[in-house]
Amino acid sequence: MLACAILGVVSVRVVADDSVEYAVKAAYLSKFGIYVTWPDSTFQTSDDPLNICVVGEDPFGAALDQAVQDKSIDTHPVQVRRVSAYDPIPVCHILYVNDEDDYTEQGVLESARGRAVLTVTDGRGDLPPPGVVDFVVVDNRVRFTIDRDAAQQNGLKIGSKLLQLALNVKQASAGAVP
Amino acid sequence: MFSDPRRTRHSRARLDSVCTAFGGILGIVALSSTAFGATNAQRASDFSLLSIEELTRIEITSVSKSAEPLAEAPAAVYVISGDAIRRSGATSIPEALRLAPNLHVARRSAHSWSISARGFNTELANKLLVLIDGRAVYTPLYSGVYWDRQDTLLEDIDRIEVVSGPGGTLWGANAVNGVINIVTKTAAETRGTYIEAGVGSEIHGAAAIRHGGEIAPGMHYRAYGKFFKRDEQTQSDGSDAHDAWSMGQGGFRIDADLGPQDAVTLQGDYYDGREEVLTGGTSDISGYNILGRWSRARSDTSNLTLQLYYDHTFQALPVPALSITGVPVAPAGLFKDQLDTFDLDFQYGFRFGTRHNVVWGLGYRHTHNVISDAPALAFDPDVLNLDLFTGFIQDNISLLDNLALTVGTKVEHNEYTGLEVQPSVRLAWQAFKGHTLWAAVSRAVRTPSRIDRDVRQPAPLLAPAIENVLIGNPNFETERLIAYELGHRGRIGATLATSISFFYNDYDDIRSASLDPVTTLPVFFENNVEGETYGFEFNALYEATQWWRLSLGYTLLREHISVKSGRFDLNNGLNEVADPEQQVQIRSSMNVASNIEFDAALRWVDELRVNNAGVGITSPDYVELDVRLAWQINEMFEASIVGQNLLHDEHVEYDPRTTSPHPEIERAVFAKLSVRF
Repeated sequence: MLACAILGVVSVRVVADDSVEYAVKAAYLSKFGIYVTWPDSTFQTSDDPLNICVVGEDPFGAALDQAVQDKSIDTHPVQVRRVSAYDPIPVCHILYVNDEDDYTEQGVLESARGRAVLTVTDGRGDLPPPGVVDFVVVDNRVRFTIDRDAAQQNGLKIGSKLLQLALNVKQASAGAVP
Repeated sequence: MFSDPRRTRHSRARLDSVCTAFGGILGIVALSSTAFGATNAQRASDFSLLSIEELTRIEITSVSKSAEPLAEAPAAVYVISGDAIRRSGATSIPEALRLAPNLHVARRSAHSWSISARGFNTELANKLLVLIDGRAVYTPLYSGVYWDRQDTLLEDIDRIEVVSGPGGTLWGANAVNGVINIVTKTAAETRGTYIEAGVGSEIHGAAAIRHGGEIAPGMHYRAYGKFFKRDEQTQSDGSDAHDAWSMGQGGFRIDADLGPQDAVTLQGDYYDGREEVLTGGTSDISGYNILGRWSRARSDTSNLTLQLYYDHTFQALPVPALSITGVPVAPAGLFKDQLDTFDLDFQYGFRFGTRHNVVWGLGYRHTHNVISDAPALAFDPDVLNLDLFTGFIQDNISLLDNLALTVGTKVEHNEYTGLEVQPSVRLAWQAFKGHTLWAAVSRAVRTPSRIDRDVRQPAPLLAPAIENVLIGNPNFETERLIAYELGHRGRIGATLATSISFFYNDYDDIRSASLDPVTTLPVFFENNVEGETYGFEFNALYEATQWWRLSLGYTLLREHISVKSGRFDLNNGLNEVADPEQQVQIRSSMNVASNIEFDAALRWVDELRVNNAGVGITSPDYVELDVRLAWQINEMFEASIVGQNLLHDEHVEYDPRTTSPHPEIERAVFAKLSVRF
């Protein structure tokens, strides 16, 4: 009776480092696009790729490439691009920037503001300027928050499913909605 | 499962669990092992098969270090995620269990089910162990489960782990053919308010509310309440089945982190319901339970857990008059069954050297059963106290980088048969990347229950010539199983995952019915049946596109059960089995638009033969279809329409009766609105 009873778990466990956390984040990045609508002008043709960009240091390794392998969103094949902090924006639809260097992160977020880019930060919290999506680790799970104002500024429509899964949807007018 | 308060975003995680992950993708998965250090990329493709809801539930580190040895045991496990339950439109735990392709779920009437893995799925199915948050819910009356009173707010279920095959080494007696482990979310994961209301053709009304929040930093609570009223089914002759029922349930859960090492959980439930009974009258059901659990992660390499629970359950059941071939034997009357269980479990897990993961535990359970006899159904003694002592130890040894051996045994002492030993050996080999082979040999037992030893079907109208029609046997022994299993799980590319588990089960001393040599009646139980079963369970999951997932499940079960040579069984060895040889299920899960979900599940269940007193009746094979269409209106509201068993007005899943009409399961349609804020 005890065993799993007590632990309440027969789950798969493997020894690992941070890789699981980032593998989960990579899976999220590969799926966010399903729930986001970009402005009509974003894609020229129906088979234009949807680019997920990683700015600066890449914590994912092969995980992100694996997550998007052979996948497309609507008709757009998903591609991963590693870009420099100085010219990331033009090709990016989803842009992940981690906080290894706050100065860089700030610059990237500033330059993405007002463009049709889903910016994704990693534990940025309330620091300005905001990204649209921010990963947080809660209860040992990777979750995320959504800044609706930032999404609106970038001309993005976020699907209700994603909003519902977000931990708290930030809106300047209403403050944080639990 | 406990959350880790110490973990910050930058800490280096050393262990991880991908509980729901693998379940979701692999279907029947064997459990991975420390030895199999999956690569980053490999795991990424695992996760990318999950839905975004499932991603929110993946634990990225584990604090329950000692969980690993248990978890690593290679076995046929299918994990039903909470999200899959939501998308299935299930309205009860038995309905949710239809998601597990390695189970056979037979709905016998509106409120009764037979559920088993790998066969032996009769009305008195007795070879499955079921736990809800660590609380064992099978009844020692017949070692089966009253599925009608096992409930919770389905929305709050984290996952249901379904193990087919013996789990005796870890879980103990009764985990002969499988284990179902229902795990609810922690209170920290159910913050906010959730309200749902539904109505339909079979659900005349159902509503539930849950609210959760933070009491103090690191301490969370939730409380819930639910109620439903369900319609009766139809009899095969077109009349009403007289099996309508209604039930109310409420409960709470508090999870608190006490400092960096300790976590505690306190939870409880209360339920009360009324059921119309097929044979006439109304049955009352009620119960409550309270459970406390304390866990301490002493260091990175050891962990201890202490759990205590008390459970009370009661049923008043009208038992119809009994007659045999038209001769009245006993009048109708009320049967009452009250069970109080007190259970204490301790577990300690630690690493030993670089290759060993050891976990051991001790347990004590006291049950206090009070029966009030009906004229046609009685137990002797009426009041019975039983003490059960258990201990187990298991070692998971990394033999090579890609080869792990798990050896362990459970030892328990029960008052019926004394000492019982249930060892197992399991080997897991990661042959090459993404493919794991595992094999296991286990011994499991079903110890006697009250029905085997103490039951009486009195015949007051025939006395003194015949006192009883049926009696238990004080010499009834333990039923035994040696199980041989072989499994493979693997993935092909980033979009297809498969799992297959073969089994060969060798049973001995299975329950039989004998006749009194002089007076013919009473019938009494012996252990005169033996036999083999073999077959396999297959499951595949295919992610066709980002928005469309398909899965296929198949089971094959062959049973060769017979009476031991030179012995006798009134039922020719067939009374303990009523199983479909094959089952197929196909599921489709689509995100038609970003806020519209469409799910469909088609199942085919082979014919099954129910045997009673040497007379068999066949329930024909059937195909049925369930669908769900859901619209996420905004981040607060979701509306859904569910259709269950759509292909026929009514169908039979299990027909136990040879003459009179039997209940048939009707088509059901209902609409549901849920609100979250």
